[in-house]
Amino acid sequence: MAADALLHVEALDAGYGKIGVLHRVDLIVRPAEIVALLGPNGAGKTTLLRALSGLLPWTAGDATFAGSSLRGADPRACARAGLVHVVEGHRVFTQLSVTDNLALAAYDLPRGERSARIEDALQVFPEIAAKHTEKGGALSGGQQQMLAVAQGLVRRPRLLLLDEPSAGLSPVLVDRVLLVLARLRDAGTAVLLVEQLVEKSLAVADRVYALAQGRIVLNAPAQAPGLAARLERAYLGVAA
Amino acid sequence: MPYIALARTRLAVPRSMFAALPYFALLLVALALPLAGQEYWTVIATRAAIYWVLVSGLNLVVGFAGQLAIGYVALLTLGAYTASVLVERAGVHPFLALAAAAVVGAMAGVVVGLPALRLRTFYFAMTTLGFATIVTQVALAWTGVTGGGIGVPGPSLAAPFDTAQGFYLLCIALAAACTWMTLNAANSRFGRSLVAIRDAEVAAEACGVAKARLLMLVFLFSGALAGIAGGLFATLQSYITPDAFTFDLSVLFFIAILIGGRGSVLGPLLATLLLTALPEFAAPLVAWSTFLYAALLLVIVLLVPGGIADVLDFRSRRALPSGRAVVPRIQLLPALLSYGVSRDDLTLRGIALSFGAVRAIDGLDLDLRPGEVHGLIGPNGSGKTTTLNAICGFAVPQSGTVRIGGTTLPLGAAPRRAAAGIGRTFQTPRIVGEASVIDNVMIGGTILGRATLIETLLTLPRHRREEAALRDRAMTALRLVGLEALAAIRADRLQHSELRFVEIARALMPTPRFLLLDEPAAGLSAIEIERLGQLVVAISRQGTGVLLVEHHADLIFAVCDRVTVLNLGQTLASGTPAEIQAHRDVVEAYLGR
Repeated sequence: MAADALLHVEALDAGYGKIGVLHRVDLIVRPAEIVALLGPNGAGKTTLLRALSGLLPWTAGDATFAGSSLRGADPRACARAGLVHVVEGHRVFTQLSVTDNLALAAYDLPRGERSARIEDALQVFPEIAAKHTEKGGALSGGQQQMLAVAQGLVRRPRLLLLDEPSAGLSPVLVDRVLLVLARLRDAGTAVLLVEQLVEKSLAVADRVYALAQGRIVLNAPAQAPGLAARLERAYLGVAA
Repeated sequence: MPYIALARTRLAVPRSMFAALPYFALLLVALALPLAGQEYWTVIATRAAIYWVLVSGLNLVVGFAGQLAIGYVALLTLGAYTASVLVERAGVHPFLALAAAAVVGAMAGVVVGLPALRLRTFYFAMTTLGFATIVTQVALAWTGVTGGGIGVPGPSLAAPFDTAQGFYLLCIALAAACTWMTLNAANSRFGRSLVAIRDAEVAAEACGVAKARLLMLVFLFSGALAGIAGGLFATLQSYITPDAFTFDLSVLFFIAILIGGRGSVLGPLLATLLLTALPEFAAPLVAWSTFLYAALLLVIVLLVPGGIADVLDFRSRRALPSGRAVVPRIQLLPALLSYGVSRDDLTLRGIALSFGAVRAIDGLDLDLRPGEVHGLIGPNGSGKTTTLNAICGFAVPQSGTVRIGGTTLPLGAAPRRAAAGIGRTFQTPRIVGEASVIDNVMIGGTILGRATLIETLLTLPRHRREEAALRDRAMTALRLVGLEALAAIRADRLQHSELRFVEIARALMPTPRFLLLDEPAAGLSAIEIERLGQLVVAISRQGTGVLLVEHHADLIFAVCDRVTVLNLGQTLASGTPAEIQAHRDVVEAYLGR
């Protein structure tokens, strides 16, 4: 089953200090697949993304990305391998211009490609393209979120980890971000999407995992019948 | 109910006793030290006690308020010379001279502190260093009074303080008093406000913390302590020259707080003892003391960034229960919010605000009514948060008025909005991560306090009454939002969704007439959003006017009485939720599908 996986997580444990958050998490993401990771707040979704992108060490288990283990890989190595993490909470560089924010995301890309990549990313969000000379701090909260997502796009990752990209975005923009994800998938990119907007996530995702209290409690195709009820139980922490 | 009350008092008493234990242990050791018969130890301990008198006050400035005051040796110098010169040249009684040193120190403290109101971090640090240099140069040059490079004898105290032991006990008593007073200040609205200024300045202003006044009070107090420490220092040295007040001393005071850990009293106390004693007991190291401080600082920064206080913070290493849910208890609302008959609207008229060439708001009118939830929606960058900031005084409109009833609120002047009855939350929660959850909520009640700093330092009855009432009220607010189980937990250990509810509890503390919520549902799960909605409606039914900025259209249409849609800083549409949902332009520009 795992032979075709781009990301293969096996029995992963991780946490902060002695406090364990994730317990034996198994998860697979295949190429050109959108996988939604749902679950109540505090379930460990952000922790899992942090563990995968090298921001947090593991205590047990393993994860392989494109055939090589991520054990001990730092965030830089992860990003270079094509695994890009857009963190939650509109984290942008407030003192740099929008263009420079994107240029930073393109930091280690070939020089000739950078401006084209930045152009492409800006095309997705005309709102911030119009403000490309302004500082990140001058953008509204939602525009900062667009910029954060655009930073992820600049790298044209093989796997994009998105942590609540919809937070602070207006409904039309949420739809647009999800549409962009569908386009990315069609172009071959895999996406692991952490979201609170369950229905909208399911509409775009191919498969869905639910995480509750640090454990995977549900793994199903996004179109599976009766999924809503199973998810509801999953949110209560019951294996569904 | 009696059972609950009993359980709470049973818990509360041992906890405060437990917290006081290290201080009493230190005091016992200090009192027993002369019995060891080693006079040299007593001298070092005397010096440590004198340093602590200064550092305890400086701790409020550096560790709590986060102001990088580096050159505090200047105040020690001023205190030392004031006391010595008054005794030596004017024949003033030594204790009167010490009091005069406190007064001079306090005034100089304000002079040193004034730049902090305008300058930040390094720039302020540079001015304090400059002040230290000036004081030393004056002491050198003003030979008629200070004796210049030759110096002046320090004041000698009368019996029973004229012996090494008597003087030691006096210094220990003063050090103990300083510890007690700074602990009182730390656990009061003053201490909480200082930390809020350090870590969440915007939120502090929204809670009505008057930064300038508060900082000046603290600079006065810490300056007075530094002046007294200077007088004692001169007595201990028995003869002072400008050489005695080296830059190393400034470094020691500052580093003691860094190593001790910010926002703690015990940590810097232990660090002061450590830094005073360490070079003395390893005699060859005296010449290396600066190097030693540097090495210690590096070790601390690399291994325990939170300092000694962090190492001693055992509670924060315990795991929190996972799978916890925030379940508000709206039936508690009447206990928290009760209004008189005032039925004034909050009205915005013709508000226009530009950032440079960008028009963020362009002639906006808005009416918030008590008892109603008013939704404010619109595309990203349409001016929603800016509207909130204009109401709260964080952004100053170029034209337009903000009124509550017949009273026009001054544009800008954010710290006065809390008293006018306006509370708010923030798009990204502005919380003091290093403070406990209940302390964060209590910051919201800052404007309810009347006790002065002196009443607080001495824990006079009014302060104790107010503090107890405030804690009670904060606990009620936490029960209301369903977070009472986490009251004692450091706020940075909470989940994002819980912080949203902490902010609401904080905003409710002073009984706001108008509550402005900036995307409170962002990052919340569907069930949490539902509970939030119920809470918001219940708050409004208590008589509060709520302005709700949100992107969750479901929530907006479920809870709002009226909705205004912004686009490009202007009102695109305004009306009941049903009217807005059917509005073609709104659907196209905002709602989609």
